Amino acid sequence: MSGGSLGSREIRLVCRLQPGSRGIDGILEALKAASYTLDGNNILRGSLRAELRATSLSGDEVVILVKSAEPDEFRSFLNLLVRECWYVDVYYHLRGGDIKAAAGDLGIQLPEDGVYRSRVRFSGVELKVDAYPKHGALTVSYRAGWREVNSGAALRIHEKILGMGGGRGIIDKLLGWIR
Amino acid sequence: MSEEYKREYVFGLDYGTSDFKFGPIALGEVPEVIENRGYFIDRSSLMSRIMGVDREIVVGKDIPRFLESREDLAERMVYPMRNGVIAKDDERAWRVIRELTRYALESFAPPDEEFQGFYVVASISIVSPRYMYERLFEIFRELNRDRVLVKAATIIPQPLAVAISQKTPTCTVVESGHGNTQICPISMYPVRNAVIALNRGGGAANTLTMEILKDAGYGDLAKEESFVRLVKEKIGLIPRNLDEAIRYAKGNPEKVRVSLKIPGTRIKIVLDDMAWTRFLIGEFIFNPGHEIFQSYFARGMPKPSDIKIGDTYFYGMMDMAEAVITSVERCSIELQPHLYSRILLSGGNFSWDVPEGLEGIAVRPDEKLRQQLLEKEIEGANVSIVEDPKYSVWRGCIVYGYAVPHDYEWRWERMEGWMYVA
Repeated sequence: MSGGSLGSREIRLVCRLQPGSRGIDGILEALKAASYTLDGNNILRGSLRAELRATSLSGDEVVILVKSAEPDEFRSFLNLLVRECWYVDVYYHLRGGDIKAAAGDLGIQLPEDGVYRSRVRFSGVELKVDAYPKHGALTVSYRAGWREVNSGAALRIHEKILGMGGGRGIIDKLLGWIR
Repeated sequence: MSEEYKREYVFGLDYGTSDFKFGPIALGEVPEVIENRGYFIDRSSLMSRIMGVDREIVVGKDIPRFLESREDLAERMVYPMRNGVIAKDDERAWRVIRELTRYALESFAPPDEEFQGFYVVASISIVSPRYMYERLFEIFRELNRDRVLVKAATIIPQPLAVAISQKTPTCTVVESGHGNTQICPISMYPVRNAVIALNRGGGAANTLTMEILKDAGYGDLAKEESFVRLVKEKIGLIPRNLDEAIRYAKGNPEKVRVSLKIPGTRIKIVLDDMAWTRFLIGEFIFNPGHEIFQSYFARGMPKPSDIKIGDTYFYGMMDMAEAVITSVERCSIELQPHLYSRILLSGGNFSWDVPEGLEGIAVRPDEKLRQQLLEKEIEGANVSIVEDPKYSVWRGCIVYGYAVPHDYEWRWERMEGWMYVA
């Protein structure tokens, strides 16, 4: 039997659709037009593998889970989504050994126990940090719109959280964040 | 309370027969997992008083620190969901559930004032009677007495949670945990009168593994369930065809022999001549009626029996394909092909791999069930194992909690919506 590990990093994108938009159909059409392959709930292009996870019943939000992507591919995906949406809430979920490195990079000293919450600024963007040290879990989130993507802040945040921890080298950064 | 607040504080609780999976939406795709059990401490003992132990029940990762003798273990350790159903008057089991729930929610409750309780989505067996729903809501209310942990709660059956996590409105879900297996056709909602429950899951394979270990000379070690489970997970194999697999194993012993070192101990398990028995472990889950198991039953291994809990029969010996067919055939004829075209296997009991070199002889659970269905003339069945089968129920809870609007209140006639308990 297998253990069934998922790995320790995930990105969840919660896309808030513009009022009066065509809902998820608009996003799907934009993805197709940009040469993304839609296979069931899966969204594929280059190094990007993502999955449509949920839609709110009111149709105003869509949740997409990004399973893997090199930084440029991720930026391009996010760029498309913010064009189609009002804004996108980006959540980085880290588990295990990654959390201390990521927290350290953000200048945060995690306690050993309890629930830790704080806000830090990076590249002009307010990042919300939720940490559960006892369970080895850390979530960093921010709201991305045109400004965050076009200014390059989204990419810098992405690299800060996923690519720069501990002793990771340039090859790791080039290869993306999930193996 | 806004929709935005709800979406930030959705919390999933999956009360599995063996493991309890829990956590908020902020955890991403992987919940926390602890065993679904509680240990009642002997508070009258001198040592408890000297050590200042003020708790009555211990749950979670702390349990090993409080364990006493093996004899006490049987009496004091309570596994509340062993059958997926808790008797109405089983107070010890309900106290463990309450403690597990408290542990889960307190672990993730933020300390700040902005937090006004989680939107909890709990998932229980499809065969759970209504009083279990009522009792769980009551527990959520009770937990709020000291501090508000639960703003609102809803409860969904585990197979529905799987279908939601897979975004599949029409399918047959086979959810197999430690204690039982639920087969549930879904066509937007669970087709409740078509549900088939089997009184066996990973625990039945553990029992067989125990017998195999005894036969191999490890009788002393075989008494500890967690050890047996580990051995099962490491050495068990599902055969494509049991007779052929045994022939292959006996003809090619070097391919199937196995040696397993238990981490952190000096214990080493070696199956050499008996390595063919690895295939029995997987077969037992799918077809305990195979004649080869008769010798084990004859020597005293308990046979999975038919039992009735509440209004539900749990079949002991029905093979997996037969159970799926029986369940699907209780649905309308028009629906049946759609139910066969999407069979989802979920639950920890379907986490099996095929070791390198044994491809074709050993198979994964989806292939085994497809093969079994084909033998019963069900052609073209599309069987798949959900990604990370152990977590799919919890993920479904999160998706459900996220999707259901905060102002959609609980309705007993439909068993859906939010019950506000704060």
